[in-house]
Amino acid sequence: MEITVKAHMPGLVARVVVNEGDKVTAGQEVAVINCMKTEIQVFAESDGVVKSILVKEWDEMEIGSPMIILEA
Amino acid sequence: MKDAILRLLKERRPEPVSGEDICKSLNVTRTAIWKHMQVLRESGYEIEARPRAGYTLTGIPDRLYPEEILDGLSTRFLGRKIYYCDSVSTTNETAKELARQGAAEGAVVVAEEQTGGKGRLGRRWFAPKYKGIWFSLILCPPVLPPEANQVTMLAAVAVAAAIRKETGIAVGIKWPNDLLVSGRKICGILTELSAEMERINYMVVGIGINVNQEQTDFPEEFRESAASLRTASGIKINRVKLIRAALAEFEQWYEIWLERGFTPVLASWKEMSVSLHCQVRIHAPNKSWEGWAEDIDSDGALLLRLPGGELQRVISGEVSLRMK
Repeated sequence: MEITVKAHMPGLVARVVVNEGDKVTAGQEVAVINCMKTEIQVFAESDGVVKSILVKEWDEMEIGSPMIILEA
Repeated sequence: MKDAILRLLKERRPEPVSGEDICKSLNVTRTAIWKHMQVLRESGYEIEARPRAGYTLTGIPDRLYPEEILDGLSTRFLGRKIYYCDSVSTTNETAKELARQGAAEGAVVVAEEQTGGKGRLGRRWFAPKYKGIWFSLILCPPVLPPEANQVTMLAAVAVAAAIRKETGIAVGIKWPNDLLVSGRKICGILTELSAEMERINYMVVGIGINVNQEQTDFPEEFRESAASLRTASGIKINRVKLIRAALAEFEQWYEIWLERGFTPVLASWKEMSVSLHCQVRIHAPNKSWEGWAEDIDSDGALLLRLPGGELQRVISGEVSLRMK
């Protein structure tokens, strides 16, 4: 099953901290969004493997923008 | 016990307190008192001991010890629990770890030195020992995550107000939350948030204030752009009093924000702003604009009037100011 990790804050992608193929566990930080000097951690919602990374640094996010796809 | 002895010495200073008095009022032995005096001396307190007269406190060290900050702190919840560190990588890292372990709202991490200080986007923030105030606040505001970044501008308002009250130095705020004196940066703020869609787990507000550095304390690459309150005023500043004032102002503004929303915070931010109603250049990571900083919207975003007349909304980026 594919799970999409989405942005829950508008802002810019500050960094993605996982790579394709990485195993992640639920609650693990996978990326950070920066909005006006507030950094927001983005977490994996379930265990899985990073299938694809849809964003790069400085991409602009809206609430709900897809960021990372996990294969759970 | 150490704190109780210190309180007694402070109450009586500049008069001495006899060993007998301490024994009686705190119910300890003379040997125990002697040991506690040694511990206090090792922490930097200057204590004179005279036969018959007793112990006199003659000097308080320039350290951000929790007992010094708490002595006279007027807050209700902020800074009531202080974690003191001689040296840390960053106070934000320590605060996030404590928050994950369940530290209560209002807990504060204070360090004398940061070895891994970082600004926005991982830039280095120079934080030498005993010269500045490097601290992080742990908060858990009952708001939705997108509103939480208002706290970062609130922090700028609170710290600027505290510096103005405590030192009289006319600090200004540069969008969104740097504090400047005569165009040079004296304070940086980095907020980090752990949240789910609908709920904030915790929020850490990291604040670094350059207080008593000399200009030569700054590395070459920062000398033109950074300053300290001391270089700005020529006066050595009492760091304990300043952090106490910053905590008090922050708590006051935080309560105003929770009660009445962002409007009063933003109004005060605008009053102290130096990057509004002037020409600015914005460097965003992958583009840049030049224009007239016309206003700040209700989310805190900068509204930039471009030369063509169009209004551009900017949510992030490095601002360089061109004062006219």
